[in-house]
Amino acid sequence: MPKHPQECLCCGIRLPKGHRVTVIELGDHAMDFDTIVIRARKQQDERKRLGVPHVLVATGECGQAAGSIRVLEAIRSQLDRCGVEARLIEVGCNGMCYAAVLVDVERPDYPRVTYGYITPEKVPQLIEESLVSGKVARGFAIGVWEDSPYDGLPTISSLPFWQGQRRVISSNFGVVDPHDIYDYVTRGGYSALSKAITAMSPEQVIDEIKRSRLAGRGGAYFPSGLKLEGCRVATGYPKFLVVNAEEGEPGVFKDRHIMEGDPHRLIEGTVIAAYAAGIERGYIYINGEAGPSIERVQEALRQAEDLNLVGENILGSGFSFLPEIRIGAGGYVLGEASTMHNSIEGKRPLPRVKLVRSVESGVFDRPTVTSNVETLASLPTIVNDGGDWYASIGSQKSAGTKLLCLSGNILRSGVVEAPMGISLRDVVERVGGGAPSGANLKAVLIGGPSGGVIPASLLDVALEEGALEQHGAILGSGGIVAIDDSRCIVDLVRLLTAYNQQESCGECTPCREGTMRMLGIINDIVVGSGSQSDVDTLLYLCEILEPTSLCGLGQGAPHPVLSSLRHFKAEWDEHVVAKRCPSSDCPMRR
Amino acid sequence: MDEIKLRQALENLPRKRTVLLPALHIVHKEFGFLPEWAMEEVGKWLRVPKSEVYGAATSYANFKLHPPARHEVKVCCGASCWMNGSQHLLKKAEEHLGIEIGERTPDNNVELGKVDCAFVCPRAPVVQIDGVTVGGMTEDELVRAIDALDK
Repeated sequence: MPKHPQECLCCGIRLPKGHRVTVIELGDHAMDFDTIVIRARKQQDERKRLGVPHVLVATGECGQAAGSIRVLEAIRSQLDRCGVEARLIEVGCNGMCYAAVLVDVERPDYPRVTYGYITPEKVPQLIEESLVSGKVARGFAIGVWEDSPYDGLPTISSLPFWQGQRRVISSNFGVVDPHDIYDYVTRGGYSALSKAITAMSPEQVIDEIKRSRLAGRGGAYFPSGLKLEGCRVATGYPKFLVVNAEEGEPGVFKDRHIMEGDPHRLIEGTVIAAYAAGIERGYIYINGEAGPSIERVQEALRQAEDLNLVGENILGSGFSFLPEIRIGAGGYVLGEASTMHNSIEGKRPLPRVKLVRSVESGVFDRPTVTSNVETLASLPTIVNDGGDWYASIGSQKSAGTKLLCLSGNILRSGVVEAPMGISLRDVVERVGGGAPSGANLKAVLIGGPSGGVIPASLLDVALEEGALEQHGAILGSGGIVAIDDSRCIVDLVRLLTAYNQQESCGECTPCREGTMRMLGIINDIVVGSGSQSDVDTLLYLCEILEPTSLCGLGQGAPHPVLSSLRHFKAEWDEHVVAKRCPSSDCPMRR
Repeated sequence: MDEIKLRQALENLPRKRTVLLPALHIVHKEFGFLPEWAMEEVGKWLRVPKSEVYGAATSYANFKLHPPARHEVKVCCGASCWMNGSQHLLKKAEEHLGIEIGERTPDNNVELGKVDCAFVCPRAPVVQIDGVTVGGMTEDELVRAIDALDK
């Protein structure tokens, strides 16, 4: 034990010269959660006292694609020009992506109002009416965040998009400042981590997670409690936690919303998981193109490290967890866990033959837990509110809530959080509003390129584990694409098969050769050069790929083909037999 | 960035294979692609055979192995964008530039490509222009945006 250390060995703060340190005193230099809460409350009280209004602009990727940065700059200049004092905060999207650019105004004397469809041209009027001469800009207001209507404005929760939603892990989206850890703490953030680490044993945490019946939200739905326990009891050191933030499936953008909107929730859940499973090292592996996610998670991690919530001797507990951020570089297969492990090791990103489960042998052959962002983000609420409470939401088959991503030919697209077991029809027609006016909903693709096409007549199916397989589809990570009756299903299947073929890593023959042959046949069929025996070959290939492919990519590639042949045989027949297609979008026309 | 500067940048990394991807990111960020000599330098520093550096580099979809064109226009061809007419945007871009997808204009100014998803599906149809994602794209706007690209 050094007599005169320059820095505290647990938290690194500089010690006064001549300071003599004992083991007990070292513990004193660790941060405690009460101090963090006090600081957070001080900041909040100070802001309340100053009474400066807040202007929140949703500048995640979807907001940026709608021009939110130009709106942000327009607001900044307008505030300057008018001499209005307001705190301008960049937040994540609250899920109402269809109404981008979203701007919220929070005044001390008026409830928070969400304004939608904001453009730089609308900014002067927005600022004038909500901050300068009045308190609300009615023309742009979508709703107010209150329990009952206020000043003639509807409540957000009464809007069609919110019917059936249950906000459990997305409750901070669009309101918390993702760059401010104290704002997160003010809303109860990190209290679960503190509770788990200081008042619960790892086994108790695992027990709570088991009771919650939480299952992996990346699409595999493996019971999370079991996975963490598997790592806890495995032999090997060090153990690793890999946060799968690669989110590379077309049509899925929910993890980005978590990372952009509430990154601290992800950090908190990650540390809780590490504590439960006895893991000291970790990798947060983020998709290389998810710029705002990378930036916000990096910042959040730094802030959490500064407050001793991540790193060595967390909150003086003796438990250490040191995660590193890794940035991906593309490829659908990179989201597959063993592929990610290979990438982390510096090898070619290809899947591994899983002779041993990765909880026992994963990264560097050490026990590894790989979890999806949404799964980890569910842990703080499970620790705080209890596994039984979480399990009481949802259905018998699947507990809790699921983040769903709506897009395609739909009136209201965005991110929805709904209890497991909600019907697909409710989500697509009630929440999403069905096809935009003038069009009719024909089908829904659920599960992405590994998913299936379900006709509009069969949408009364529950969104829960195992329920969509009866129709040839999967719930997967929650990507739902609506298809109207002007589209060609066969061409869509061609698109998805082309994607699967392109993304096939090439390692296993069934997938590498199979997807290529499937694509060749479908390409012929789409333009009218296919025959019935081609369809038979296609079916035969589908039969082979599922049981023999090394990973989910090959295993799922048959799903779009099989489900569409089953539910949309008429369209296939048109292409194969009649050699025509009524859709104006189909290559057949060319 | 020349050999010496690259080596200096790499020296911040531990000489371990595990940082192969971070090292490739450093190279790609600097050059816009992965020159062969740079991949060899990475291999030398991390003590990884150059064939394996190459194998890893070619397995990541976002890494280019050849110098990029001055500008890049990529139309999103994911299911959500396809359902919102992105194939018509693609056709328009091909027509306007006089090239097909995957090609670049003879003056090496613009390369036309696709992305399989830009992950902003609610803003379909989406086009990425020089790395900036733009949603709700129309054919007219796309033509204007292409014309605005400087030479």
